[in-house]
Amino acid sequence: MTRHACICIPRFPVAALHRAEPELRATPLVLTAAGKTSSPESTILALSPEAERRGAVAGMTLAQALSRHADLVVRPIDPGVLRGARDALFEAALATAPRVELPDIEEDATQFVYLDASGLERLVGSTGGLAATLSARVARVGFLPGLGIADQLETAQVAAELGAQRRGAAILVPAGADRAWLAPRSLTALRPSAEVGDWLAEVGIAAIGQLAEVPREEVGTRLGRAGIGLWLSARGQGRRVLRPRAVGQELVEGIVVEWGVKSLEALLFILRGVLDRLLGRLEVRSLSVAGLELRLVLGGAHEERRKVGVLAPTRETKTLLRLLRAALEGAPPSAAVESVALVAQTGEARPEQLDLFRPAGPPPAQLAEMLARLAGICGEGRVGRPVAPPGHRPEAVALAPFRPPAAASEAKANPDGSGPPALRALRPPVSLRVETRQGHPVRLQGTPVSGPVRACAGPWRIDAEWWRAAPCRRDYFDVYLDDGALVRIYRHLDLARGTALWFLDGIYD
Amino acid sequence: MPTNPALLTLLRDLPGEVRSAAQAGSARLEKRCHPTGLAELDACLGGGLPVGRASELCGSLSSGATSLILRLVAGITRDARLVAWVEWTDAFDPADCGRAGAALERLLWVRAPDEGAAFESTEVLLHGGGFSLVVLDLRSARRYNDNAGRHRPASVWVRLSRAAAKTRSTLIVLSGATPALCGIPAAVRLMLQPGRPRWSVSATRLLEGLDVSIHIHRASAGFGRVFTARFP
Repeated sequence: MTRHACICIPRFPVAALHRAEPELRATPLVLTAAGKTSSPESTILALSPEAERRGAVAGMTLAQALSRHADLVVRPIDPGVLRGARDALFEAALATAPRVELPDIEEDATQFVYLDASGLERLVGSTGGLAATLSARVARVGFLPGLGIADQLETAQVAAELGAQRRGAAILVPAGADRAWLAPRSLTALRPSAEVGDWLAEVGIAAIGQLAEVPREEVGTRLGRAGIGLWLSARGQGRRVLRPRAVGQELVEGIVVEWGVKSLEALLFILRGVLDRLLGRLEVRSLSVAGLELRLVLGGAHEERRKVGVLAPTRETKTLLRLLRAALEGAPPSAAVESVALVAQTGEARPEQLDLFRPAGPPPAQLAEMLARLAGICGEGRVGRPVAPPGHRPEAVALAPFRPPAAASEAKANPDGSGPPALRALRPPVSLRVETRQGHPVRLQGTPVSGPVRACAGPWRIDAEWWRAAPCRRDYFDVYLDDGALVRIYRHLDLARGTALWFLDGIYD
Repeated sequence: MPTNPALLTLLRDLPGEVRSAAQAGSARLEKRCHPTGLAELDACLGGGLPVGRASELCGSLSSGATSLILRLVAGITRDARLVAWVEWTDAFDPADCGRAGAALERLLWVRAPDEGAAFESTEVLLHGGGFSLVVLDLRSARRYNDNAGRHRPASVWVRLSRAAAKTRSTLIVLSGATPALCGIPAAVRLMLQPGRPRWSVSATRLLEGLDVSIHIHRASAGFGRVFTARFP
């Protein structure tokens, strides 16, 4: 048995703005066409019930509406907010059902979402359980949905609209009972075209059940293909099929700022709201942020894009805000910010099979969270596991993402105990003045070490990257100074210029 | 010595399986320590540096403190446990750490941009748990014998120490000649004196190692033994 579910969000542009700016929920809000500002001639495209109660009507100009009630809150439609809201709704549905259709917003500003609910009752226990799960997920992304579940798509849509009228109720039509449930409802609930609706009203067919009783040939002769489609829907035999939408890996949430934002704190305040919405969407899909891009539209419509390094997938607002702060503090926006958007690359928390015989490390999710916080504190590229970088220069170091292996290490203890003691490196090496006798240092002068040399070993030469314009040709010495310091120094030979400069490479410790 | 003949018979028949309570206690104690890899020092410390406590290694540069910690890091990472090394002077040399036998894939290197970030990172690591050892390197290579952490208020150390105890991570502070930890006693403080280098006696002179003297100072027992260690 095929079952379908439908989510209905009436006044969707208003609901989308309420989601982005919850403080507008109780205000008489009217929305005009997208743009930076609204003029008195702007047409009202959508409005909240509070604005409707004060006399505003969709389609009238802003001047007309304001003449009826002066305290209307006027906002242009924000395409970024609308897109984010539609995606959020789609993702909430997708977290419940594998096939989801997201059609365009209807002319009356209602947004429907259709789901293939066949067999889902078995996953959640019952049709009621499915409705509760779906409602909770849609509510988590910031909407109060009307919900309908029925056999055919059209019945589910009618039920969802009815649920929306009852302030977020779920209407469940029993399996095989579509025709009986639809029969007493008004024909307008099936949203017939204006031409078909007018003709049916003229002949006195007002209820869906009345249309279902008319013979198919009679409907076909008078109303053609559109009439037959409506007649089949009225009998619970609708032919509409679900057109699933592909799932994207990138999530975008944004908002247009009413006034250009210059201060970092104000910008972070706005970003927090955007981030909360983004993370709500990820939560319903059980995903985390694996990568983040901050898009800022500055004065003059100039767009700046910044990558925010996320070391490991996380869904922690505090951590991501810290990373965003670090990204903004490093290079503040060059002009007032007029619009912000966050683009998240999704990823799953790293699964790992733990070893019974291995000491327990941090859980992968916790480790990811910790690494992200450390990156927020120290900055990008400063936290990780040390690796050998490409190249041959002895002082070069590099970091790679920290992903400790599950298997036991194969590293061996220093087998023969050979080699000098540990070196504390100086990065970059410190320039020194060195007195030499027969090519060996006898006195060092510089910071932090200075004084006569008591003993030394060397030189040993490193001749690396000789194929480059600036090769690495050095003579190294281990030097023991009178004050007890044991250091490693080198003489850098620049053959092209014929110079030899001395550097302190590190201190043995 | 037991006098009961039945017990004596049992001890004779099962010599390996029966141990005294004192022996069992010492075995547990060893499990709660990180061995340093220096047998004599571990014996003095009762197995090594205590787990879940803050310990401190003090010494001016060239005193062998870094070499000692690298031994500890090598032992822990080879045991498939994780170690974090936090510093802000960028003095850590991964190549040396690898040569000491550490499994670098289990070492998290935090190159903090400043002293404040280093302390904050250490706190995050200790609170988060999962790292058997967190090394906080406070020594400044550019200011010889200087020690950054001594200017920190006592409350910082108390907080770090409590976090370590809560998550059973061991905090080791690598400080200069002047101890940095204040407000709480370090469970173990090892004061290392500048050492003497050992040179090879072959035709080509090479640095072979460093002989240092270590003074043990335990919170529970006060000033302890002094002995000489050889690195490597």
